[in-house]
Amino acid sequence: MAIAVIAIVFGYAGLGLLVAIPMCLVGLGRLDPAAAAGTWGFRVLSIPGVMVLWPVVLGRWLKRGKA
Amino acid sequence: MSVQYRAVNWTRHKVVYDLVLAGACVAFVGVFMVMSMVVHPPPNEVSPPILVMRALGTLAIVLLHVVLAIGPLARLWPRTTFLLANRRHLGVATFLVAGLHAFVVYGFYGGFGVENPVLAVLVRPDGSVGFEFVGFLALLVLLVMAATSHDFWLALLGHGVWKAMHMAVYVAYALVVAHVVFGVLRSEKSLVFPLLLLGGALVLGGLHLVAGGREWRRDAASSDESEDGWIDVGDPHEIPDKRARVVCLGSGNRVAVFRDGDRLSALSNVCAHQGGPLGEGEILDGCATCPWHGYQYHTENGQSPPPYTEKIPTYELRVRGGRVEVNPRPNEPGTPTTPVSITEGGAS
Repeated sequence: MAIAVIAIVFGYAGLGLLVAIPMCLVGLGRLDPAAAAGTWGFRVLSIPGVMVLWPVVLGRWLKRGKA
Repeated sequence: MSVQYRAVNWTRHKVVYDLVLAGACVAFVGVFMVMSMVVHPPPNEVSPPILVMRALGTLAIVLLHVVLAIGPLARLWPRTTFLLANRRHLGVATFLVAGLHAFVVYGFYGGFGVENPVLAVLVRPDGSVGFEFVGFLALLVLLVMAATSHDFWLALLGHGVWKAMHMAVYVAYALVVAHVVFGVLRSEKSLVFPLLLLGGALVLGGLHLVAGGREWRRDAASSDESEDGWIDVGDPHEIPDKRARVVCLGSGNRVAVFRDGDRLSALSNVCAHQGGPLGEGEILDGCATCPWHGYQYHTENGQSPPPYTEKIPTYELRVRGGRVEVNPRPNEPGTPTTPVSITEGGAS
């Protein structure tokens, strides 16, 4: 059970890292215009947040893409 | 207030705050280690890695207590409101210290990769888990909050969702207490640490209860309605110049009625940034200023001064028989209103 929880946590974070790279390069600016002009420090600092909230962030990014 | 996101919006005040915080953390670890060496002299000495582990763990708990105490303290003693301005830095520092504690634990018991960290620290050979796993969960909660502490996440999620998510700090606190009770205190013979932990929990609980009770009484006392549904705010002369009186509407929303000289204006009490209590701030440079992070709004239209774009709802006011009253129906955020004079309507 505990190993399953740990595997889920690390698996979720791993997928989040995959999403975080394109998101921090181009995606953040699509979600919030103020982020388009964000510094590189801000983009790097956003990576852990994207890893945590990647389903929300990815969902909104895709939604904006369709709109 | 930023129109361009940066990693950290450093100001002189924030740099000084963070340097003092870092210095205090280093001093705490140093004093803790020296005192432990004095209390446990050879041949009963504690090895240096375990001392560092304990010092960092204790420091993380102390910081978590301070983080949780700041909110009710600011409500009870407005002079401490300045502590709120950098609470997020303190929260991130708490996560970093707790992470460092976990890193030292992993290094000591897992040999920095010699052994599988999951099997070496988190899961026992028989597959069961102990207090270490509870500490891991607490660290995860602190990580989520630290990772989403930037204003970008606040804007993306909206302050209602963001705030609800960050209330998980209380979950982290419960997990930390369980981590300590089931782990450290089990082998601790001295009563000092159990009493300190109990005292900390009682102080935190007491502060929250007293602050919550005071707010509840204030809200209950401020909902007198006139025959047409407007809410009585009181004698306008009793509102201090450049400050506000906060009233609770029947809907539970709070309105801040600001006085600027002889003019009165009403704004939502909820700052658009982090939901801070705008009515506990003051008028600076002609704008109502949130005491938490300095976000500003023109009192007559609820709009932040350019280039900032935040807007909050405004409310209509009137003065009748020497009493100021507010229409409980909010205007759209940023709607201009005409300030009323405190001498209107036969004021005393």
